[in-house]
Amino acid sequence: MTAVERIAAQSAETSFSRSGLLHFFEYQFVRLRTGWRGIVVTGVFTPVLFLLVMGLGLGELVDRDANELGTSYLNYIGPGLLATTAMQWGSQQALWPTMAEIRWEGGYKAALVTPLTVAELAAGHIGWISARFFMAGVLFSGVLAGFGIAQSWWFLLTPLAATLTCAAFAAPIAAFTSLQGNDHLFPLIMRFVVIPLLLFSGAFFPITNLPAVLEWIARLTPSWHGVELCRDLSSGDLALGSTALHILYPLAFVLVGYIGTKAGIKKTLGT
Amino acid sequence: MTTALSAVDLRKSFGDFEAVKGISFEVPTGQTFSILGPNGAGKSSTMKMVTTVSPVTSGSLTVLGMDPTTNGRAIRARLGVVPQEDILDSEMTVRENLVMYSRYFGISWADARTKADELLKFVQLADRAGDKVEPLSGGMKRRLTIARALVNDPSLVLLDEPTTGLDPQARHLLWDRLYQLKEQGVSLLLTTHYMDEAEQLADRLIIMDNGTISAEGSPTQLIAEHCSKEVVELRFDNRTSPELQSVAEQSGLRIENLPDRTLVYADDGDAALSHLAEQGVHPTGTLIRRATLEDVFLALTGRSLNE
Repeated sequence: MTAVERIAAQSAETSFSRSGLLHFFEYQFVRLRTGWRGIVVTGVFTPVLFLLVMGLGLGELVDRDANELGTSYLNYIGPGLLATTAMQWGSQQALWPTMAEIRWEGGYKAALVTPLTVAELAAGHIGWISARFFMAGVLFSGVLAGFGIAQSWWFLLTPLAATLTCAAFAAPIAAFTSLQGNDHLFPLIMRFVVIPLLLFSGAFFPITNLPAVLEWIARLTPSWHGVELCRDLSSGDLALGSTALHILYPLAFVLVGYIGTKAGIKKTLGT
Repeated sequence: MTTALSAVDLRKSFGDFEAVKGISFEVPTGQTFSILGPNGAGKSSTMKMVTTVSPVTSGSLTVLGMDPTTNGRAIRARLGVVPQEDILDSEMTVRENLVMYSRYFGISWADARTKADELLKFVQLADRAGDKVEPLSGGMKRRLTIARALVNDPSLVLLDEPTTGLDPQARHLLWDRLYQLKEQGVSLLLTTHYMDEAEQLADRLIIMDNGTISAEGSPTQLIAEHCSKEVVELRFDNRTSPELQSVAEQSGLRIENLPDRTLVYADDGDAALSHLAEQGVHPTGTLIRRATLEDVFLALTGRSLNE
């Protein structure tokens, strides 16, 4: 029995299969030939630039008198930069490139007339955005380690933690994108959601320095949880309760975003 | 005779708008079946339901013996779909487009590569295997899209306006390839704007208009049932002839006024033309031709298919 006959012989519809997801990833991996530069720029160029300018340059000023951060400014912002870079990657990839696949270039339209299902496509899409960030995240963490930021063996898990942050933004934003007819609102998302979150998620200063209302808003964002998780892993200062919260809270965003993306693709391409 | 596709009272609604209003038809295995109709007739909605991508609103649809609602994945595994636009992957080479698409069907790497080379020969693109997709001509992209729809050796191939925008040579090459597929026993479901395409390829066809079926049969059957054997095309200086209407009514000739010409339906075109001349109708240009499917459509709906 050939592979096609095997799929055709399945009597009942299964909405999700691991092989479907694997085939989707294989397909995307071949396309990586043109996408690897972005990964290297994000994974190497961004942290080197930021760590030199902010970690060492600005850090020199911050650390001149004993700071209240409990560690050097370089150690403080390094993991935060990793998490906020993940947020920016996930958000950006969930906007224009997602629109291209669903509407402009039609790649997903072609995929949906194969045995692939909408569920596999939605999971694969969010998963592949995250997988590519993971590659960048590994490089990024390597650069952080090179700057001497790693203070614990837990640091090895920072690329995974940042990838979770990436997915927590990619999934809900992909759900939003899947229902859009054009990209008119995308620059607004970047300007009024992503950039403020970059500044107010605790990557550059403790959110306790914010006015009380903004501090609580910051605590509700998955990016703050991502920054905290990366920072805790880097320092090795982990508490079970807060670590679990920093993992489960962004995971909820991933799950809701996945359900939304699935529904959005179905509505846009399947009616 | 087994059926590749069967629709009974099939309906598709989008909110209050009913795009497909209870159509019934059957596509026998190994035949080429065509759906003709103007834009908005419900052709694409019907095709999308057959691909299992769009859910059926009501009625019954059986594709390759299975129900699309519960067996979507299994049906799609045996379908080949050629969409209206060439949605090829511009980041991959010609050959990779086929190999990687095969993987979606769970075809092994080795088989996918062999099949890709075989299909590239079939659509005469073997010499472009390593090229990117972007520089290919429209006809080449179309052929590659057709090759991609064949990676899984489909039992039923759906072609949505496959030759729109192609030059005559490219169209003929495609028709030849589709004819070969049919000879191999593959069932084809084709939507098209082009009457000559349907006449060339289709064993049977339906004409859809406004979500319903206006006529069904083989091309020759439909012409015989709904049209005269011949059609006389008349052109006048002032676009129309005031005398023609009354002469036609008196003589019992059916005519159709188009923006640029008037059609006169007659079994004997020469005789009809002589008769009109005797009655004082003097067109500036005349053409006698055999009736076509386009005339059938005009006769049934009173408007051109390409409107």
